[in-house]
Order: sequence, then structure tokens, then C-alpha cells
Amino acid sequence: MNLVEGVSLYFEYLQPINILAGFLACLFSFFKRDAAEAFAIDSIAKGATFCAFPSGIAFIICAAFPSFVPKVADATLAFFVGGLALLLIPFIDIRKLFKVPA
Amino acid sequence: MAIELDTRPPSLFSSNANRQLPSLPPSRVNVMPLSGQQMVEPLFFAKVPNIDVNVQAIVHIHFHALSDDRRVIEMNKFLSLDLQDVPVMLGSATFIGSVVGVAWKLALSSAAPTSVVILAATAGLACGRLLSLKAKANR
Repeated sequence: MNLVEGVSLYFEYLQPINILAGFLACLFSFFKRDAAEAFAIDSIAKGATFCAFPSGIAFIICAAFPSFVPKVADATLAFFVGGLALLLIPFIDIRKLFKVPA
Repeated sequence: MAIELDTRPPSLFSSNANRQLPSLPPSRVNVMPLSGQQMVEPLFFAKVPNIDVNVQAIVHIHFHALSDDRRVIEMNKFLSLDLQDVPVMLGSATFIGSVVGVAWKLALSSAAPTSVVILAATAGLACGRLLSLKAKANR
């Protein structure tokens, strides 16, 4: 199996990899803090955050090799979420200029 | 708002901590008749025992809700978006979109249509906001 085949497999199974990454990150974050009940919701939030990580790797690969763009498993979701990130983060960053300091 | 001050000296052999201070009956407190729900909360913000003057101020705060609908006030919380909520929202959108995509593929053995995925991801954004609020309240 050469590199192209491996990357193609990665792109084919991107959605299960997303779910698996979130699941593992949630469990890791929960048991790293001694399975304390107070951190349960926080661990779920951290797992949800980590769900976007494999998609981010896929985007970086697409930046270097644009021929993989059509192979992104369900490109709709990836581009929807990536576009939202590109849209929201600069907006929120600029909005801090208009906040009155306490 | 009504502030009551008790300036009596503390008695020698009784615990001042549990002493009940006299407070105004609610009928003597001026309440502006406004529409909406009214809530009276006594708030103890200063208590200095064991000096010659015991000062305890009771502040009655009247919350005059502008609307009868509590959901309007609850929804205002959701509008204040923070930068730390964005990763959770985006990740949650990815998660729910992926779950819907995988479930669609397992059930119908074909790729999920665009509209379904975008709807699921938008629902994921809302779920991420709720999750972030819950985590912030728990912290």
C-alpha cells in the first residue's frame, strides 16, 4: 500500500474516523481527570471539539494535494463546517473591539 | 431598593451570627407597579460581627422583567457568542453530521443528500451551543 492508497482510505472513512476521534477524546478527557462527575459535561464538550480534528487534517492534505478534494467523504459537511469556522472566528475576534471594558 | 441598617451593639453572651435582624414588612417597601413578574430577593452583603457596632445591610432587589415571557430572557443568553464556544459548536456540527452520514450510508447504502447533511450540521451547531453553556455552568 503506497501513500496515495492510504490517504484515499483515510478520505473514504473520514466520517467514522471523526466519530471515533470524538469518542476517544471524550473518554480520555473523562478518565484523565479521575472520572470525576463534575467534569462529565466538560469532557463531552471536549470530545465534540476533537471531532473536527480529522477533518482539519483532511483539509491540510487537500491544501497540498488538491486532487483529493473530490474524495473527501461527504465534502458538504467538511466545507460547511470549515466555512463556518472561517466566517465565525474573524467576526468574533473583530467584535471584541466594540466591547466596553468593565 | 430598601437598605436597613442595624446599629445596636452586640450582646455579650449570645451568638450574633444567628440573631435575626428586624426587617421591613414587604408592604412598606416601595414597589413600582410595573407589568411583568416581580421578584423580591433579600441579599446579605455585609456582616461584621464582634465589633461594637453590628452592621447588617439587607438590600431588597426588585427584578422587573420587561416581558412576561421568561423564554425571551433565556434566549438572550444564547445570543452572546463567545470565542471559546465556537470550537465546541463546530466540532458538534461535525459529529452530528458524521453520525447522520454514517447512519444514512448504513441504512440506504448511498451517500446522504446535501440538504440532510446541512440540516444535521446546523442542528449540531445548536447542540454545541447548549453543550458549551452546560459545561460553563458546571465549571
